[in-house]
Amino acid sequence: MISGESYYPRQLMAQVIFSWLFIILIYFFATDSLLSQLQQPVLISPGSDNTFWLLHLTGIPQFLLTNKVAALSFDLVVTTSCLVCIFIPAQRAFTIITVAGVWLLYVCYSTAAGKHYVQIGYLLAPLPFFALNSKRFSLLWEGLRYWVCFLFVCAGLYKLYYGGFFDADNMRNILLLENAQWLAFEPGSLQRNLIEFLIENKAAAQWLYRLAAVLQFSLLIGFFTRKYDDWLFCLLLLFHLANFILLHISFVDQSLIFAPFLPWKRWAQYFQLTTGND
Amino acid sequence: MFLTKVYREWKLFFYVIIVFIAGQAFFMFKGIENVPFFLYHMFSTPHAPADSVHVLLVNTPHGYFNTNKLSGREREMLLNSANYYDESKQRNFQDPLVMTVRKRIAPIADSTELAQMEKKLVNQPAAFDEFPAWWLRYFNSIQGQRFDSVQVISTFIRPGDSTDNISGQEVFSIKSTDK
Repeated sequence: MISGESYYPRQLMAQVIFSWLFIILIYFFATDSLLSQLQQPVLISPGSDNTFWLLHLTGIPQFLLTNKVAALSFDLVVTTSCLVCIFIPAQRAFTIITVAGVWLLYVCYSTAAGKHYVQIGYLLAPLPFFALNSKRFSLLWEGLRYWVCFLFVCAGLYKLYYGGFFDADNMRNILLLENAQWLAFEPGSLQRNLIEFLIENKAAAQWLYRLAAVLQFSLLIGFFTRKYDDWLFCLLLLFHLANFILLHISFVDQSLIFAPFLPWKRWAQYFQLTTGND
Repeated sequence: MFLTKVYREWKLFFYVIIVFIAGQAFFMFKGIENVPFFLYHMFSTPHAPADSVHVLLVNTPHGYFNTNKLSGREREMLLNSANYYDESKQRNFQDPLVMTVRKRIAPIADSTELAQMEKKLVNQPAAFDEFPAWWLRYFNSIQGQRFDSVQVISTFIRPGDSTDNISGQEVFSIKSTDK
């Protein structure tokens, strides 16, 4: 027990989280973005990220991107290893392979696409499963939850620090920038009407932006109590849904970032699992 | 408190957290993202008002291709990479990253090492030559139809503009040589 609390049900969580990750990998496959589907990209863009630089200096991302057989083998290894993690949760080797694989996939996809993405839920959520021991796993899972809270609190604070929160036209300008191309091809729809309404009503758009910043900042509560995790989960879902509708930012790959706020212990009790099963 | 609990239960993890917090603080101060020290500052700066927005359009023999039909990941791969190519083209096919690489690496490496590292971090002219052919290959692989030729143009559009009368500057055009 950690300070009188029960542990998280590692086995149940491993099965759910790696199944979720597997669905994300299927989504990548369906959206032609697994390495073997990229048709051997020729440009790289490591940006100014030193970690990307170190990896590129080893030549691994370039090799995986340009070699079709290596790319296909890589995709097969990552997906198979993820499946193993679902069916055999109590092991570490395949967890390491899966985690290393999805992080490498992230680097390769980002460098080929010329943009570093912040859709990182699928990178973070599998990390605690490095621990096999229930006590250590619970500590890592709690750490992950704080990390996610920290990222969103920072996102809210950055909007204040960089001034986007105070600029009266900011959300309208963001909507214009992100939707110009989309609007050119989109026939009349409810979504189009909503976006156009917000572009025309900049005050409403900016209050929505401020609400989003407050919503992000509200994850600060997560540092003090887990009592409101259901609410934080709903707020995060709402935030990502709004991003999807207004800015077309899909959150399938990001969705695992919700996982730390789910009631795992309640679910374990419901399924009559005890920590002794782990 | 979580940190106290971690210190009591698992000292190694406690020290990892402390190092991580220090790293995160350092990179936030420097304003540079270094995975896994993610910086969540997207859309946080004021965006300047603009009458029109810079976009890349894909011109096919059947007219402009509706990129809304693609998934976000496909669209990003196609349009961001083309944007990167366009940016390099504006610089006479010099990778926009080259100056950053030289500035960061020159103080710690000699000219031979710098040249070797630059080769691994920066796109070489041959990569830019091959880019349009790769782009068409990927484009053909992700949407239902197969196009033998496409043109990517850079232009400015206003929200609500239709694509009927849009023209712009060519980023590249490519004709497939595959039979």
